[in-house]
Amino acid sequence: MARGNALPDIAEQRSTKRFLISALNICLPILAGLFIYLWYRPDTYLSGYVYRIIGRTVYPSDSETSIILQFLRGYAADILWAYALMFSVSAILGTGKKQMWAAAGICLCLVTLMECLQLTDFVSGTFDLLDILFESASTGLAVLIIHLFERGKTK
Amino acid sequence: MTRFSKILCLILVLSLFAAMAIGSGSDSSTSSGSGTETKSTSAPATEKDESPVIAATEAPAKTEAPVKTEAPQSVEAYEVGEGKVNVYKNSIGTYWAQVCVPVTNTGSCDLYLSSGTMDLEDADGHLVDSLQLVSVYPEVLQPGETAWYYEETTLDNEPASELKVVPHVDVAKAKVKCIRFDLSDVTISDDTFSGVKIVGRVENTTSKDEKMVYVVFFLYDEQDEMIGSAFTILTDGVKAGEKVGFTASTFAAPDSVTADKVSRYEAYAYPMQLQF
Repeated sequence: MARGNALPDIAEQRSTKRFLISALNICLPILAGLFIYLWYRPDTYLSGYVYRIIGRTVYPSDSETSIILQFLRGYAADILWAYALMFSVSAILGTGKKQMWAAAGICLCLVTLMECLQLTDFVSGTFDLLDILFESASTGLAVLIIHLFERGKTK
Repeated sequence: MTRFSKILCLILVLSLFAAMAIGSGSDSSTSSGSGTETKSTSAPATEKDESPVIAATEAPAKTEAPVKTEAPQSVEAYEVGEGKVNVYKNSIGTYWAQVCVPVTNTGSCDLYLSSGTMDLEDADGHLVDSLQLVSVYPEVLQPGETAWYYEETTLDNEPASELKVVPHVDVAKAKVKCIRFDLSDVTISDDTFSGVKIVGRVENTTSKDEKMVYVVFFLYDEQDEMIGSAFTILTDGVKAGEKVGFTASTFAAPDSVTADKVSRYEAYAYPMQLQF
């Protein structure tokens, strides 16, 4: 009887743990990406909206152009958001092998589509192949982490 | 989760991320940097926690919210406030014109202001004089701050009518970093003959020696009107971490500008920074 009650408890604990890990892997990169945009990219719509809401800018007026700073400004937020997107989609579709491939495919399609739209007037920005490469790598990293997490759970 | 719910959630998530991607696009439509002329003479934008504004006396400074344009998300945006020309006669009968034009950074990036041209016109719009290379302080302007094009110059004759200024300012996005030094032990007093003298210390808080340091004060009366400017250049420079005394004074301000008329001041101390 006691053994019968313990199994649902373990399943519930695993479910809660999965939810928490997914939530963290979605929320933290989104917030970090948002912070990067607010701090280093005041020229974006997003920063403008937030500046308007909070009534001031948070741009540090740092005109240094180190490689790290350029990377942060140009790619870091997109990388973090692509990572969060993969976790979001896999949380919806599931973490089976087929579902993971589907999730990764959807993410890569969206990433490529959004970047290609920058070639048109529909979305502002500059088309950059490196953006697609970095975001694809980020999606791949998310797939790997989810896979490792799921494998660790089943052992 | 049913198939329908999954599809719905997926659409929502993808839409959210697509919106985020669109939102992170550059707002190029509002980054032209064109200044907008306004007729308002708002109080200088002063954010106590950011700007190097120091209260001059015990009298509380009028601190209104920073001037914001309709589109604070724009990269380069500024407002040229209503300039004023104050004509006065000094003790030896020479007519002087004090010309002040405020420029407020209403954007979200630093601006670099270069010297400008100020056309003086009479009430009928006739050109009376044109002042070239009018200095502006500070040169690097942070978002929310107000710089002043300021000049005191002699006039050939007494103007027949009130003069007004038509400013031609030179503003660009700053490529140089905004550097400001701390001021302390500031005291303000009447100068020996006329005008105002300000004594204090400036501290180079950076790790770099500076060869030429500007210290400028904008003086405000009880009505929060800018009534004059005191200024000095420390040509001996200030080494990194060093604290050096200075004396700034008005050049040829109206006799009405005295220490007791000064209700508050804005102070800027910064190294000479050129931008090409």
